[in-house]
Amino acid sequence: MTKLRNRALSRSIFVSLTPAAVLFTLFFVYPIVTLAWSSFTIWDLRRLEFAGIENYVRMFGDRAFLMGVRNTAIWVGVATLLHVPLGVYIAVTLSKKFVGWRVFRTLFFLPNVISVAAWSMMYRSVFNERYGMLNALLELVGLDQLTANWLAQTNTALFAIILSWFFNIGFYMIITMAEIASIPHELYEAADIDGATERQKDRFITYPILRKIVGTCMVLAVSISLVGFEYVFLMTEGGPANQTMTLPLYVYRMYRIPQYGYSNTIGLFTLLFGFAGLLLIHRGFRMHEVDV
Amino acid sequence: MSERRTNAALFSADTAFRTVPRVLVIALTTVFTVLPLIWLVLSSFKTNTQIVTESLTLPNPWNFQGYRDAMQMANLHISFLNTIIVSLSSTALTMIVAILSAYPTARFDFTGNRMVTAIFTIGIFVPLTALTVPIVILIRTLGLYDTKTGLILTYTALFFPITFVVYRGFFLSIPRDLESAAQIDGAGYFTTLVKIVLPISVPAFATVIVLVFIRTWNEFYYAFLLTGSPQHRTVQMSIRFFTSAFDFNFPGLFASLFLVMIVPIILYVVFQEKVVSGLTAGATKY
Repeated sequence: MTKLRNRALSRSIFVSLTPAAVLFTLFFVYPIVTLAWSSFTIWDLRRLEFAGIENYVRMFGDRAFLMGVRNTAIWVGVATLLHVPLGVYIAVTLSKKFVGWRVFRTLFFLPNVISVAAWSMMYRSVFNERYGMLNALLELVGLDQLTANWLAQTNTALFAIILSWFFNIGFYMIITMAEIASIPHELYEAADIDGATERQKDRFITYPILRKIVGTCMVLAVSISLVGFEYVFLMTEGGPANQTMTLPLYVYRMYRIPQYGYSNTIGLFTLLFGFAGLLLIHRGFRMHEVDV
Repeated sequence: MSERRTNAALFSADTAFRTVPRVLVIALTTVFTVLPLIWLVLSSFKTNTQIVTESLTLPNPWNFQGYRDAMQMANLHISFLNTIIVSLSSTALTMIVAILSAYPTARFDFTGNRMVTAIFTIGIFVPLTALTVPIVILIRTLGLYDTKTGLILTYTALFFPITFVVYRGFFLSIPRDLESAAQIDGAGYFTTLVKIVLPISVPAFATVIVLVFIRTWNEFYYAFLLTGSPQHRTVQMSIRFFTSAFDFNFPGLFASLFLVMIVPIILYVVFQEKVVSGLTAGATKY
């Protein structure tokens, strides 16, 4: 870093930072501050008045909200504990560079360039009872008894929504493969000399080195899960009977009513929920520690 | 050498116990990511009746009515133009703001540097849907509701933190000798930035352009919240058209879905590595 020498330079740096500071204040600082104070108000089109902790009391007795918390927790849980490990497993597999691995790498990343909205609309059709691909495929292979009205039945709707993104592991696959590629070859060569099997090399060399990158993937999975509005909104709108409600959708629904104060309370909850998850992962994977 | 050995291990000695789950996982992932896309494209060339009655066949005959409907009824060409304008403008603005702020934090030891950097970086993790009410009110207050300007400004802000992190990482990685030389020659801060730093930042430019362009092209939520009228609609909005207005026009729906997806897919096919590194840029930088 260069130490500051003169006033002209200080002024230039200040000017240089101003656009970002203004934008960030308007779109991040001001909104978060607004969430915080307005969570203690009743705020709609007619009034804006102080209401103490009324929103918070209401929140914990609100079945739709609690359903949103439950589903968002399931969503984050599946994303971090199953979806990310799947991506890492595929990355380790493709890193063996068997014939055709590039094709799979290309295909598996493809969903990441497609909008979540279009992907959701596509899967909404895939799960359709009458003309959907899933039921047609099940009938084709003789599993007629498994066909369902996937998005309309309370016992399958949430499962179907999660299934629509569960195999989109491209992002985690790419960053994990980059990490694997950077592992020094000497480690594997030394293991070969010691007569290690392929499996032992994965178990004792590859996976331990991937600890931090798995943590990174999980952090990303939490943030992505908390903005997954389109999946639910476009496939089920939270139905049937709020069975697929999530926190982002509930923030939106309360904004639409409109109950700004209550919507902001849930928004603040979502924000804190997310940061708590990130902190937990950061600690759990000892991401602040340097590997020796 | 080591590559050949690992190949052999995957398919032979290490037993089916290891190979079978691998093949299964790869196959399942392929089925759930690729098959729906193929089905979607084939369905977009069918008629309504054929979609309902013959879900898994090839279109017979190939029917282009869905694409005609998508272009005419949903006015997709206007949405395309809007999206291109919004995406390009947001990309340019985000880059300017991010370069101007990332450069000093990567280069100069000024008071508050660490704090500014930390705060901008945390922005990446803010779940943006949580900020719904304040951002809508902000855009309404600025008089920018249902305008492209409002959307451009919002996207510039929303994609700023990740762009900042990417540029900061890049500036930290390039040597500073040239800049020092320029400063000794008496060049000021902005002259150095524009004449010395920007020309050697071209690799980062490509990464960031891809990152912001594809993300803004695909953004749904704030486009949905902040625009309403057809003349400002982006492509992501128009895919809802066929489910709301004409619930039974499946070819129209599938065709518009395909048209919305195809632009980033073409970019991906043509510039594969650039797109991959662009979209994953900054992901491991904090």
